[in-house]
Amino acid sequence: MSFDVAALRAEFPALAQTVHGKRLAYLDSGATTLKPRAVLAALEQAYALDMANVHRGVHELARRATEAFEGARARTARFLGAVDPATVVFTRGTTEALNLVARGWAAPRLGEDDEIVLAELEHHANLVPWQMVAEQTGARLVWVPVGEDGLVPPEAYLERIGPRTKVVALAHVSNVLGTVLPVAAVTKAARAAGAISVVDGAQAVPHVPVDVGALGCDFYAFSAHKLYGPTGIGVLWGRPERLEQVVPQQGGGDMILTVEKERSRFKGVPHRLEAGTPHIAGAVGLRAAIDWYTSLDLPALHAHEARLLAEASAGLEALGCRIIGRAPGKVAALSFVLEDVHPHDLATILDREGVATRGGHHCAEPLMEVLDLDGTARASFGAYNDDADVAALLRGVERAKALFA
Amino acid sequence: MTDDLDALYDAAIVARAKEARRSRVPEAAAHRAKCVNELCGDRVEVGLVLEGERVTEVGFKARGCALSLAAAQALKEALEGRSRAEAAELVARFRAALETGPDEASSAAPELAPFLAVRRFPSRVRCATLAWEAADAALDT
Repeated sequence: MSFDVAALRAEFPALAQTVHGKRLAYLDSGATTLKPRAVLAALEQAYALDMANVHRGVHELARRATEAFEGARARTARFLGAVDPATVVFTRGTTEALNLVARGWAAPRLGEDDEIVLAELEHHANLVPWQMVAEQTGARLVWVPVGEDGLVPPEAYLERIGPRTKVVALAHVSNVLGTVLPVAAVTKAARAAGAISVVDGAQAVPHVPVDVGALGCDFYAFSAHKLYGPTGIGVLWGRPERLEQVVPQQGGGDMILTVEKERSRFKGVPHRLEAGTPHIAGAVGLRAAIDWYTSLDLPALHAHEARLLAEASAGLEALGCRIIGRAPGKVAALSFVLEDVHPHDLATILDREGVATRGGHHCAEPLMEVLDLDGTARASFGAYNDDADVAALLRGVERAKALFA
Repeated sequence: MTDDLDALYDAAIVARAKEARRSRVPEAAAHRAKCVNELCGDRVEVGLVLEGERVTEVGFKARGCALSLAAAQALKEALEGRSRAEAAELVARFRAALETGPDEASSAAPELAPFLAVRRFPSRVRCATLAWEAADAALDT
C-alpha cells in the first residue's frame, strides 16, 4: 500500500520554509521531529482556552485542564499497550525518566556486590545515570559489547546477566546504529535473574510498535518530542509494583496527601512522582501527537521509512561512504562516514544544501570509542521524508567530496 | 559558481587540514595547553618552544574537523619565528577578528584571510579559534 507523503508533508509548517535558499530536507528526526498542525493546535487550545492548574481548582477551566491532562495519561498508557493510566508518570523527557529510575529505584537498593548490565551503544541518558549509581553505591557496570555491523545478539546479554545483576538498562533502538535490540529476550533473562529491566524507548516509539507487556520490561521511557510532540514532556512507564518502589526525588505540591510541620504523607503513584505543577500543555500536546501518529497507516509508514533508509544507504555507498550499523531490520537512523571528511564539516556542507543532519558522537561517546571513530554523520528519518530528501542528501555528499577532493 | 562553502573550504584550508595530520607537540615545548570544544568534542593540544623571547617551534596534536585542523596548522605557520609579544598580539587579533568583528586579522597576516569566511558560519567559529585559544593559554604558562 502506498503512503501519501505529499499530503502528510502539508501538515508540517516547518517544511514550507527554505533554508539557505534551498528546499529544506529535514533528516534530523532522531534529534527531534518536526511538529504537525494537529499538535500545534492542541498546544494552542491548552494555553488559549483550557488553561488552569490541574488537580486543585473547582472551577470549569480547572476541570477541563485536569480532564485533558489525565486523559493524556490514559491515552499514553493505551499507546504503550498498558491498561492502567497510573502506570504512566510524566517527566521532562526520557533523560529525566531514566534518572528517576536510577536515583529513585536503584540508588537506594544497590550495593557493592551488585551489577548493572548495559551495552556499549547506549545513549548517555541511559549510561551516565548508571555511572552515578555505581559511584554512589559501589555497584559494578558490566558492559555488553557491540558486535560487527552494530548487532547485539541476545546471547551477548545473557552471558552477562547473572545472580549479581540487579539492573539491565538497554535502548530499544540505537540512536546511532538504528539497531533494534532484542528487548523481550533480555528482559526475560533479567527477570529470571531477579533483576529489573529499564528500556530507553526514545528512538523506538516513532518507528516500531511498542507493547510494554510483550516487551516484558519493568520500566520504559520515551520523549514526546521525538514522536512529533512538544519538547519538555516525556514518560516513564513502570510496572505498578515497581513504580510503588520508586522513592520520589522531588517533594512539593501536587504529590502530597497531607503536610504537617515535621512530616508529610504522599499520594499514590503516579502523582507522588510528579511534584509541582506539571507540563500540562505538554501532556495535551503529547496526546495530540499520539492521536496524530496512530491515525497514520503505520505499517505503510514503516515500510516507507525502510525504503528511504535502504535507498539512502545504497546511494551513500555508491558515493564511497561507509555505513555504520548494518543490523538486519535496523530503523530510523543512518550513520555514515566519508573518508577524510570530518562529520562536522559534512554537516555544515549539507546544511548549506538545505539538508539538516547531525554530525558528531550523538551522545554515545563510548560507542564511538569502540568503533574507533571521531563521530559519524547521521541522517535520521521521519514520516515526512521523501525521495527528494534522499536526493538532496546525496547531492550534498557529492558536494563535500568535491570540496575535499 | 562559487558560494560561502567554496570560501569556507578554500583550497588553502583543505590543504592545511591535510598537512595538520602530521603535526606533533614538540618534546621540548615548555609552554603547552589543551582546549576542548565541548560542543563537538574536538580537542587540540598546542606546544610552543621558546628560545629567549622568540618562538622557535610550534606543534600540536589535534583531533577534529577540517576547520580546527587547518586553523591549528595556520597557527603554527603564523607564530614560528615571531617574538613572544608579536605572537601574543597575533593570537589576540585573530581571535578578535573571528569572534567579534572586522578584518584586522587579514591586514595583520594575509595568510589568515581565508579563515574570515568562517564568520558566515556562526556555529563553526569556535572550530577555527580552538587552537588559537590553546596558544593563548600556552603563551601564559
